[in-house]
Amino acid sequence: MSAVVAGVLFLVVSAAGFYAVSVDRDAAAREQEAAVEVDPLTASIEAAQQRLRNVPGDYATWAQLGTAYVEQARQTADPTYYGKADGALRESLTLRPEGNDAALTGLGALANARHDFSAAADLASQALAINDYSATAWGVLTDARTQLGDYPGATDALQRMLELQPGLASFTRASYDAELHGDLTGARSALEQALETARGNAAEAFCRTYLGALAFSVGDLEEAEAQYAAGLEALPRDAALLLGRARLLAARGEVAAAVETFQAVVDAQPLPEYLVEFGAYLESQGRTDDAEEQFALVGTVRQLFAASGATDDLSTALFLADHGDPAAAVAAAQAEFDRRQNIDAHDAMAWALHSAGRDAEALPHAQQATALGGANASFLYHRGVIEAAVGQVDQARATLARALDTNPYFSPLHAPRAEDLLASLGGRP
Amino acid sequence: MRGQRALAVALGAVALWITVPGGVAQAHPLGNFTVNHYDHVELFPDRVELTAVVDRAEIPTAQALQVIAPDGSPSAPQLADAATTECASVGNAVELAVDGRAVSWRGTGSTLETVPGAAGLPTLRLSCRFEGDARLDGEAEVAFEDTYLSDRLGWREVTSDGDGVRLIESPVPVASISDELRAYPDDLLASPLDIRAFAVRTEPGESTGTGAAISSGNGDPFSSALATLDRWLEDLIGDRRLTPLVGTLAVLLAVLLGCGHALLPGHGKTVMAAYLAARRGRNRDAVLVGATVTATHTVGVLVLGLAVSLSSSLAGDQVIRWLGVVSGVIVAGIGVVMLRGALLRRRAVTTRGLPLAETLPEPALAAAGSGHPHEHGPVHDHEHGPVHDHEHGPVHDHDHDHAHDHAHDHDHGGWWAGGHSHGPGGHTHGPGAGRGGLIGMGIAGGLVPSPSALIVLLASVGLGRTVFGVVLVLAYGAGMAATLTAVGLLLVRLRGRLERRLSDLRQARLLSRVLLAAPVLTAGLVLVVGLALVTRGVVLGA
Repeated sequence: MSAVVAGVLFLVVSAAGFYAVSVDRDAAAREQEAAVEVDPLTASIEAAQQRLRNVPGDYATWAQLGTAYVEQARQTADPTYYGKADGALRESLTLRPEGNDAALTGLGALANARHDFSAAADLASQALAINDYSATAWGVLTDARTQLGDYPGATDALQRMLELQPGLASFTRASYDAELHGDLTGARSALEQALETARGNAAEAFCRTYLGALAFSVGDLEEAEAQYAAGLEALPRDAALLLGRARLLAARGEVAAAVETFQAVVDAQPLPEYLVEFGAYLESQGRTDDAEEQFALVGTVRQLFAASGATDDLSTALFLADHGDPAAAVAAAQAEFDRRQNIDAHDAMAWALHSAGRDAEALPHAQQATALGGANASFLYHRGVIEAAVGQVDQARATLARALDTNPYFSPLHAPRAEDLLASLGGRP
Repeated sequence: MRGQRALAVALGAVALWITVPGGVAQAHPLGNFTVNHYDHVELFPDRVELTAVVDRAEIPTAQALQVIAPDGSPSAPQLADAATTECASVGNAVELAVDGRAVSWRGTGSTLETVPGAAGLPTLRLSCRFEGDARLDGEAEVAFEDTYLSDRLGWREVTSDGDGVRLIESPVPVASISDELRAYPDDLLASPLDIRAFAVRTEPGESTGTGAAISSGNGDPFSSALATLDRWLEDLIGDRRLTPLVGTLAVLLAVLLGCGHALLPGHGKTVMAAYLAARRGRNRDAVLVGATVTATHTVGVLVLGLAVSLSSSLAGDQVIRWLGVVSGVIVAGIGVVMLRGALLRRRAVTTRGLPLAETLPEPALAAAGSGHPHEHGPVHDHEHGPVHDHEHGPVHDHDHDHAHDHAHDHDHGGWWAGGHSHGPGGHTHGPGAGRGGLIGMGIAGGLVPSPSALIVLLASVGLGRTVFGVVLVLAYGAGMAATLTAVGLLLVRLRGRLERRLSDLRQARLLSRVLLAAPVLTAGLVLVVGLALVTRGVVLGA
């Protein structure tokens, strides 16, 4: 009789096993089909939400969900997800306060997204103390160190990440690292590798955005156009891709189309840097009133930042330096520089000090901003202007020529000014 | 993809500053640059009414106000003009078709008001009301889509109801969960709502339900009490540090939940009760069934829990459904065997004219444990006292209800058959055979894991407390076993008492007739319940 019971149990277990295997196979097949239509990130968020409704105590899935929300916020630019990410990650940490490296890593990614880079570096280090093999934590550390200006440290962390998990996340970071150090070929091939591993339209659009930006940064308009077109085919109306296309149209002098595209970008995502860029373009076309409208919106956004106790000092400094409030520009740049000393902060510092007429102080910052090896036309232009102001004319001519050689279209407003300044200094060396 | 390029962090994250917590003022809950939409569609037999609300957060409001009031704060006429203009655009972008024919909207009202937002900045709230003619006095298909400002980020909600028109299985709820964009729900497990379109069939009648927003609770107080206990247990193992006190409490709660689950009518348990009653079980049978149900249930939960935590794509509810089918098949099988046995006995009685009374007690459950099946005593049945049973030797007992001349055309049933029926005379017994039937019943009863035990196990595994989870499931099983055994014993006792009464009433022919039919009826009932379980699993769960 016990043999009979054992037999029945065996039968049930094997039936369940068979069912599980076939369900797994079906699910895998469905996943492959779905990859074409449903974004994998959205799908993983839905799966995690469903699981947590059934198993509310699953701290690992809470951490996974929180991290996915951070990514979703970045992809959609919908800040709602940051609050949710924070809640989900803290829930995970409450459920399991010790040894929860996934939640710490997620909070690190969130801190990076919220521009609290030293907190992000701290959190990533805590996560790595628990689990040295977390590629995601190494990625968070890479981002934080890059933003804090610790470039050798960032490269080390990136190497660890690449060893642990070669893939989209590490390739895109490797590309940025190479670009910063002036290795444009490496940057492009890393992005192309990333594109090959990309699953889903959002991931493809993401890679195309940066391939396009990379091509545009060296003035290769054809390549940039091809990348943006391919990206927009994968994800029509994506704001980042549209912004790239707007810049491209501006560079080609197709004013009406450029304005229309810029307008679509700021309608979809009225982020301050988009508004500033649109305003600057309108200004370069002599449409001062329209430009003022966009700048007024920037003012509104800054008011909101201040109300929520946050600041956007970097873009504020650059905006104010170009729009007649040098003292405030220097204060903002200094505030940003106290938090992080990366090349962007150096550049903002240099440009703000220049606008306040403190060129001697600005020069070392401008040199730092361009010392890493990468050629950023805008940073080079700032440095050339400052060199000219302190009387280093030959150096200024060389720097300005390099800026324009790198990308003659780097800014609709400043590129013509660079040309004029170079001519007035005696032309190319 | 988890990765974000450092550059992307710098670009994409600006939006966040807006929602950094600890701020001075309350920012728009959905981000300061969202444009949020809400549509309510009310269906009448002769027309459709639409209310469309557009809620702009601070930045889009600032963008819109540049157009509405270029010189500063907007005046009432400016707002009214803007409302009329924009509602016209909304009307063009919102399409409703009845049986494929688009309804043309007439504006019946529009308002635009400023609502204070973060940092002393205004937000704009636009309300548009429309009406359109439609024939909904018969069956119809209604399709709705809102494409207004479709590429702007925001909350998108659609609700619909009928007055004199019934929506059949409407995919959208009747009432707004955001109070028409005034209070956005803050649920960590829900993404912002993004409903832009729906289609529904309608017919004349009153709208009955709450649409898609039906609450899952059912009114049965016993079930809701159990659900509350479930929540307590999940909270216990989920939210607190595991101290000895909390652990003990959780185990006790699990035992209690096991008792509750055993009492819930469902699956094979009730059938098991009928079986016990029909076949006149004994104390040890009740214990046996309780133990089998519990063992099967515990093993089932553990195996399923393991499978679900190993495979992310294994749908627990589907497995439970198919286990339900298996359970139903077993029950139905037992029902068939019982029915056959009962019919055979009945025929024996009627054809051979045996005294009814002698055929009545037809014990089978606790069959003879001795090697040889036949133990024929005199022609009488031993019925001493209410719950008395003969216990000769280890597992030996016999009830002789059959005539002298048995022809020995043994009809050996399967292991689950409840013993061999010896042709005429309806003599039923067999070593371990009755026990087999009981165990089969027990397996059927325990095969379908209770979701709450499964969730308790999964939650514990998720928290890295696998052993604790197993202990809880065992405790749960212990609770079930105790309850089922108690119920079984109670049934046995009641049965014994009933029979003692019957022995006084032997002469009552009518009652005897009824009693003779009873085994057939109970067997039929078991069969029907088994088939119902199978059907429910196959048809409804699909």
